[in-house]
Amino acid sequence: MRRFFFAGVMSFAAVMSICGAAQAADDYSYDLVHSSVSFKARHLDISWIHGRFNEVDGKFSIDRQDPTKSTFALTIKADSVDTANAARDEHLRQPDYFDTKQFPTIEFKSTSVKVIEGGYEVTGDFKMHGTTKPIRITLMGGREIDTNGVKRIGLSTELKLKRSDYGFDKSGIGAIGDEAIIIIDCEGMRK
Amino acid sequence: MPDPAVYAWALTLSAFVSAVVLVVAKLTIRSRSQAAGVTVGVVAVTASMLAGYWAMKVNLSWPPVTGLSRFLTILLPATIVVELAAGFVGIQSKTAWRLRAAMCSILSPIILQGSVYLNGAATDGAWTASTITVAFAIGFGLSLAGLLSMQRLTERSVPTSVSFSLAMAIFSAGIATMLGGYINGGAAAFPIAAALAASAIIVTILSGELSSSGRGIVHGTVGIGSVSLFCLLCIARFFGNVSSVSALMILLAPHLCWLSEHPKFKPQTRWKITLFRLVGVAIPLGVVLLFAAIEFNLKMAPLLVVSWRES
Repeated sequence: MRRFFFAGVMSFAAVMSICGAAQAADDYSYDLVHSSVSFKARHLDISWIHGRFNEVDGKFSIDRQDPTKSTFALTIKADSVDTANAARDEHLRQPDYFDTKQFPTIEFKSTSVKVIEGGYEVTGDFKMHGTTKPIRITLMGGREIDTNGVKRIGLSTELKLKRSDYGFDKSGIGAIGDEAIIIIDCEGMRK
Repeated sequence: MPDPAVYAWALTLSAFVSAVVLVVAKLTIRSRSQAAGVTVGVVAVTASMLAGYWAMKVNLSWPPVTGLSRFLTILLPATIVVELAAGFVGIQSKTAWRLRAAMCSILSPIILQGSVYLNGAATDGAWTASTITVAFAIGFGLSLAGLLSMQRLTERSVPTSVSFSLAMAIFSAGIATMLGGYINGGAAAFPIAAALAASAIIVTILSGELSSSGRGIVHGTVGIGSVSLFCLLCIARFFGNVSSVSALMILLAPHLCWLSEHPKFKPQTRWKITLFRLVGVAIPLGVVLLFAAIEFNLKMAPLLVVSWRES
């Protein structure tokens, strides 16, 4: 009887510890209203063209107790590219650029997370135009605030990518610079 | 940005290589059989296209992940092999047509492989299973009927005019695709068009198009041209910005050559037949290009003007 009681207590403790660990990871959904994924690229090497992606989705799981177990994922609809010029957007959707009918999404999925001062250093796979490459980004932020019962965190990063590394045709690069700077400012929210 | 000098060089080189292969074959190959003609025609067009793509520095990656690269690395070589095989088993034999039918059945699925259309409900614009079946059936029907129509027409008078009309349609498909904003997709049409046009001219001058080998050459080139036209338009429609109406008009334009076979219109001399056919084909192609140019001037040209002024 004593043995059964001991086993029961141990099982309960194990279940509670698992639940505690699970609760330690906070899952946030991407708040499209207060977030943006924008980019800029050189035009003729004298100025910058700015644009943004209007349809983005993401999920962040932040483990406060063991931040290395945190995960970050972002999915961008390439079709939603918006440079404030409909004709240029249409051109960017075509196979010489994003080829959105063949590669509808641009994705990032973290593979490892390290805590740094003021944020996280996140390594992950970045998939664009059918090519996946490992990248490292510095995500700043992560402080949580409570607004009317909704808990929010803010995260931001900036990364530089070469379009030619992702299978964009070099002949299509032309007047637009090969390198693009992607700026991600996003809010995650949970109840 | 498109470089007209590069395209002009690619077109010239393609035409030159086609002409050289046909002249060398004429001087060295004794056999005047239709099979030999098909082989010569297919080799000439293949060498010509390779030269053109080399001149344009076309970037081919493996595995091919885009519709255009799947056409250039899988479907075009497969079409070349099928037409070569057809030459050996008899261009109008049942085996040849079974091979061609099998080829046509894989065109649409391979071009659309991995695209949003076939990704189920996971993405916007995805087709349902029944839509996919219908689309593939239409693609199979159009490509095989197109091939059959063109091959049958080459059995009639002035077969080289069929090659030339296909070259015009392929060239127009390239221009329309480019005007829609897909530069590389449009440029891919140029070496094929140049190869077909050059082979048609050289066969007319050298072989005598009504000879067995001359007809064989035209058969081989028309087979490759007809399949290529379908594939290029499929890519332009589903990945580029060419409308269904424009794509269909370009696809069907070469078949207007059949009008010259109607007793009411049938011209009497070779040159009159050629002229009748080419003008008949040029009219719908011209209409399509006119509308494509108008749309280009409205939408795309302002972007280019900004670039030009700044540079």
